Amino acid sequence: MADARTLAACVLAVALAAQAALAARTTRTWDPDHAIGPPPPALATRIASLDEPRGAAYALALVLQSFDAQAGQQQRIAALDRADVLAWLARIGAIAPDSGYDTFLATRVYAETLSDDDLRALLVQVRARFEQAPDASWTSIAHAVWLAGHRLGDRPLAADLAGSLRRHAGPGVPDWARQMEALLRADLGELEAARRLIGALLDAGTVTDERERRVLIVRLREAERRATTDERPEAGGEAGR
Amino acid sequence: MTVAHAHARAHARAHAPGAGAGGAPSARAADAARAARVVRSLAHATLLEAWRSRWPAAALLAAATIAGLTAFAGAIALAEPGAVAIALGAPLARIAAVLVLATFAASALSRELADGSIDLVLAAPISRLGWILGRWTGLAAVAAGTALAVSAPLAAHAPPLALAAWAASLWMELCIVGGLVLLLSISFAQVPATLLSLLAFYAASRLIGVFLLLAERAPIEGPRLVARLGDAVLAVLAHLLPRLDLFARTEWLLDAGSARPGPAVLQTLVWVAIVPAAAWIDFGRRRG
Repeated sequence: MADARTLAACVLAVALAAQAALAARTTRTWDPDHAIGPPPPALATRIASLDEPRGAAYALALVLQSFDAQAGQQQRIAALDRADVLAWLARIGAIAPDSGYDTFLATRVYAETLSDDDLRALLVQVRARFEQAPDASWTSIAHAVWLAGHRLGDRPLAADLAGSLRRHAGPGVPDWARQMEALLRADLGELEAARRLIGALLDAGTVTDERERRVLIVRLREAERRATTDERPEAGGEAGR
Repeated sequence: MTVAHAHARAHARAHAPGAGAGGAPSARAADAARAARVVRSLAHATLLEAWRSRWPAAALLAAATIAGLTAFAGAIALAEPGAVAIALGAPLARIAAVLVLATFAASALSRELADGSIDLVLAAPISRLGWILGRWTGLAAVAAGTALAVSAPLAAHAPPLALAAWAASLWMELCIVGGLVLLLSISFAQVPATLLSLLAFYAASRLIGVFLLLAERAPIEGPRLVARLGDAVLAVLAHLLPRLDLFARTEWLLDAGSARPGPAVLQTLVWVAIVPAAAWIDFGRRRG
């Protein structure tokens, strides 16, 4: 009996060692196309998760964000298939509209690697998602304003995004985020709009800090001065002619 | 102490001198008091049986798995780590609790029904309804322990009040699951058949809301008769299945103040009546 038990223990030890050797030798290949593929259908996801949409959405988000790190290797995010990534982000947002995880991934992780046209489309998508869940996504739309203004150099788009942020901002959104549109409009030379917005902000009593009030007024005065200076040479030219 | 021993003790207590004698109670009141003692003894025996089985280890293992998963998910999340941990941990906790309770209940009840020890129990002056109620009350106590164990790992991320509402709702869901296992065990008296039927029933009960929504938005296509038949089957299922999709919603833990346990309480009350009635009828039919 003891011999049989010793034999069984030896067989078990050898088999376990063989299993470990097999696992170590099995090649873990990188997906050659760097394509995550289309996201799973919304209905299948809902059924598979036993109707737990938030859990399913976060699980999809974790799969997506981890896709560039496979088999112990790190892949450039820019090499991933953009259409698939955007489709995954849209699906995650559709499954759990109250979450801000998809807009966070979009603006902080994937936006930097997109072409200008793709980024513009993504920012519009982020604005739509922000308007669905303002409290969860306001930090992402604020970052989207920065991306539009500095990465794309598209200040009108940045002002539009900031306008969406001001209009849909909940009580948890800080003042600086509400003030972005006014400042951008002032920089763009849209004086009437800037005056109206800054006036509304000051009248509403939401800007209580004296320094913040001063900054808004100074930026408006600067914009007005710039506008006057820009007009003068033109007027001088006319006169000279 | 086996369940049969508990019955013997309950029988002895019920017939002890002075039992039910509190002044000059009516015969009906004495019967009710005796029945309550039997139910209590059986419930206590069920709880003891669970404690001496592998249920505590299974519940602890489930809790440890949920704690590990929530910690891992929170650690790899780039944003909203608490929400990610809850959104992945709470659904797992629900499934784990159902599996832990159902496995214990199915093995305990099927063994008692299959090996004939139930006949020994019923030879004592214990009614079938008393056995059903006693066993189910015991399972409800085991369900409470299971719900507490799997809820504990979520306490690090969820608001306390929301977690209390969620755990109470999970306990009610587990009481219904325990009742279903009781019903199915009486029908099959076999662990695999009981567990497989329970899982099918549970999945259908969790997803019935989705199926109803689908039928509304995308009506069943095909020949008219097939479509009508499909709609009819769905309607029957929707009216008969417990709406377990209304219990222990993860959103309650994620969005403060969103817990709505009212429908779950009503659903539980209805099944508190359905389970013993159905079990009593089926028990009588099978055992003569």
